[in-house]
Amino acid sequence: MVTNNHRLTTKLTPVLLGIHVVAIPLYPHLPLQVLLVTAVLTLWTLLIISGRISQPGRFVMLLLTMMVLAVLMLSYGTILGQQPGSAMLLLLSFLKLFEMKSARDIAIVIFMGLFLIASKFFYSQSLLIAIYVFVVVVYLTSLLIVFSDRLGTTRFKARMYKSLRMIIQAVPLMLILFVLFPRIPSPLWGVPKDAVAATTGISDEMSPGSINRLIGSGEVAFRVKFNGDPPTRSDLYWRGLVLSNYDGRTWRLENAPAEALPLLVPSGDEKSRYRYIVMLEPHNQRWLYALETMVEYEGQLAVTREMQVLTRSNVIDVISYNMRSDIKAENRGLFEPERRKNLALPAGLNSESVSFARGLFKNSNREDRTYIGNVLKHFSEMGFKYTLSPPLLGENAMDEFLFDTRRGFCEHFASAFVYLMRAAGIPSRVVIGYQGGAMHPFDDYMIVRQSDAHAWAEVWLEDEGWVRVDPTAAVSPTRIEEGIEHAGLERGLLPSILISDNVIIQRARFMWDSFHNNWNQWVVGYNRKRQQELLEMFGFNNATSSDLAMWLVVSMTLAGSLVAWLVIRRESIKQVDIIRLYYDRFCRKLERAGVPHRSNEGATEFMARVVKIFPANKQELAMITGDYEHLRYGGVEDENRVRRYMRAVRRFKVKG
Amino acid sequence: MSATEPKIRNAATEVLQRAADNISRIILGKDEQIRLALTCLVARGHLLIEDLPGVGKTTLAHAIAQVMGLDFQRIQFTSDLLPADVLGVAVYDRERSVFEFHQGPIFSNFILADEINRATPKTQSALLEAMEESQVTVDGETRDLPQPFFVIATQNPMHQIGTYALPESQLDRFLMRLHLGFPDREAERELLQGEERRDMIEHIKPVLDGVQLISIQKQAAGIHVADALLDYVQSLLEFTRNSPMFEFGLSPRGGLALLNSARALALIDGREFVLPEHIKQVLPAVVNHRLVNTSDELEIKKQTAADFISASVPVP
Repeated sequence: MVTNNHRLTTKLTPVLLGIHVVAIPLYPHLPLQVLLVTAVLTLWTLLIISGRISQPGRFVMLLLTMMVLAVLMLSYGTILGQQPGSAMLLLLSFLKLFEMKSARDIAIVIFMGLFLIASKFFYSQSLLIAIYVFVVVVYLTSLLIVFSDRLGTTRFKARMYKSLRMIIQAVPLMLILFVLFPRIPSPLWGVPKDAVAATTGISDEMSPGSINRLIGSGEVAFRVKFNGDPPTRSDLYWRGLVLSNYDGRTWRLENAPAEALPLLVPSGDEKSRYRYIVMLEPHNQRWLYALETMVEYEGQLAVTREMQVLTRSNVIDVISYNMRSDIKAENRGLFEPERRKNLALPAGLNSESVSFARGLFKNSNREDRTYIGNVLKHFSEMGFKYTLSPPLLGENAMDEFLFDTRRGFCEHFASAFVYLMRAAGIPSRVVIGYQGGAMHPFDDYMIVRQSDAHAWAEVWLEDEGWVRVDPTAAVSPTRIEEGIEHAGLERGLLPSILISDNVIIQRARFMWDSFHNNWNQWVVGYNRKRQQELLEMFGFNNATSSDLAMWLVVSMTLAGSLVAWLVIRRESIKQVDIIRLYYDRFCRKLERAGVPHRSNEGATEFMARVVKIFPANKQELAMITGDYEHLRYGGVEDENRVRRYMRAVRRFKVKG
Repeated sequence: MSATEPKIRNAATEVLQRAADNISRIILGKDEQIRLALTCLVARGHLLIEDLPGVGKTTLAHAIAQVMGLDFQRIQFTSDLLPADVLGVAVYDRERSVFEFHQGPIFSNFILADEINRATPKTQSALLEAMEESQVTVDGETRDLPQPFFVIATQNPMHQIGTYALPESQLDRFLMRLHLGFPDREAERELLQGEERRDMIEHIKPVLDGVQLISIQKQAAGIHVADALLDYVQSLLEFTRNSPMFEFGLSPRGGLALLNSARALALIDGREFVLPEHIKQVLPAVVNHRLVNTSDELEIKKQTAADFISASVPVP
């Protein structure tokens, strides 16, 4: 027992390594205490492996388990949920290493590892994670091979190769399951709610600095595939949220009641209509981005009176949605409460700005349009500067920005513009979202990055409804027409993907993005709809779940038969088929009689063993064995002998 | 091996059986070793006998030589033995003004290289090279050794001061390595009662001669080996190469050794073709000295390489 245990523990190093490999992506998410426990348990295991200390007893194990649970409770306040759950599994895997008694215990740890590795997909479903998971699964399978091999004979390279071969052999079955398995809409399964903890992206409020914080990120916000040509760059306003409430520093949402619907007037001009699919990266928020002005959508979405598009729950998977936008459509709805809301200003602040607005409005003959033009002219001619590193602003932020610093990013201009409008009595509000997007150089979709984040304004004109005005365009027209990387901003603050001059790296990045996009569409985003589309491509229309289940069973059976056929064929090519098959039959008869043939035993050896047990059969045994050896190893073909041999095997019965 | 089939009684088998019988009358209770030693001879390989002094290594070699009717030379290896003492030397003949080659003891059909590990590596390799190539090169002139050519080397397994144990790479040149071991009680009693073994050897009649032996060797090389058994040999080789138990797997030469020995054994056994059992029977003698067991696990360490391999590889 002791030696047996010792023998097992010395083999634990690869298993320990396996647990760590599984846990690598988990580590950044773990609290410090849990990491410390991990380190202590690892050291302890290493000491056991080296034989310096023995495995802890039952009492110590109990204490350790309680301690681990206590640490988890302290760190998370619970042991339920996705993160504490994975942490607990990880720590328990380490503890399991302390009580290895048989190969079965090791198998348990490896299975726990496989479960843990599957939970990686909670955090991310990207292609990189998939590749990583694949490698880890190959490694863990190779460990299973070692421990299920009684003699532990296979070298690292050989067993990795074997494992890889096994996994690759399983791929066709995996594909069948993936393609045909009935897709059931969440929440029955899907990513748990707490999965996407921190994501970059626009938040639901705007204060100075909140947009330019995003500019340094080259991360993809969403990808768009247009049905036909995309609009020109300066029309690419991706509307996200509308912010109406201003407290002197921060703009916030203040939505109309949900039952109030927008009042849209389409332009009727086919040329201004665009049909497209957006593939949105998870941003853990409810709103979606749509090209202004969205007039048609598919699926269960809600559109607010402010023309914000909302889903039912936060976006934690890559999702895609079909839309149609009319860039000239008008939004004509304004109730009285909305007018009041979009004129409200915090009292007692920025008096200088207010009087400036009133003066300018008066000079503009109280004409809304003239006034707007004058304000934009003020921005473009009075030395305002578009910059990623604006100076900090104090209590009267608007006054300081307008008359003192005059340096700001889009949120400053949008904010100041709306402020000046409201001060002059024109209803107006801030819109945040993305502006621009770059066509993929060799794939036909557009990439919109976090660095395209933008804020602009909307003003209410009695005869046109809500009209978009982008004050940034007055300060830096190139930002809107050519994109952020051409707007003369500080290059060091822009993401490298936008400004890199290395053609090869750029190309590689775009290729990776293409890859990633396909992965998102066909693997991560493979839902019921995609499944139907794919099956329609093969001519199966309107497949129900039970149809799918049936096809699944049929194709699995077919695949299984194919594999079985291949195996049998390979075996029969290797062996003199009928002779060997009959010998197997002979062995089965003896096995039923209680004398199984050992795989490493020659026919004569086997016979010698059998004769001792069933001496009465000696003659038949000798004949069958002799014929078998002749036919199988003798290299001479003899029809009569084959017949005699087959007959003898058929008639063979154990006597006594 | 129990008879499953009336064995084909061909002349070669009969002669070899008679040789084995004659030898086993002198070396008592060692039938298996005698059979393998003859197998080695028929497979045109060389034999290494590793055992303690006094268990009959030299007697066995002597008896085989006598039975086979081969001319026999014994070289006692000592630390001052030089390569020239084994191979021969060119001596200047004053009268004819030429160098004349004086053949060393290696120029005979049957060599007993006694206690080979006592000689220096230089002398050892002179012998081993001659064994390998069946020829000797002295002073730039190559001379063929007589055929058949068979070497039995003996080695004392104990580590003694002033000995040079053959390294693994040299051991590979021996087709087989055998251990004799102590005789069992019955055989030992007979040994103690009977007459002097050396005298008995003098009285054995040869059962064949060198020419016959060569034809038997040729016959053995023609024994049929089924594809299934080539698979088996390849599986065995592959297993030794993949198993962490061994530092290195068997070489292709090891594979050929296995096959040729199995053929020779099949001939001795009166078979027209090789059976898996033949391979398994020669396995310990052929592979144990070629494989270094590096396993640190006691359970595996205790087994010999051959036991471990044949337990692990299924017979096709």
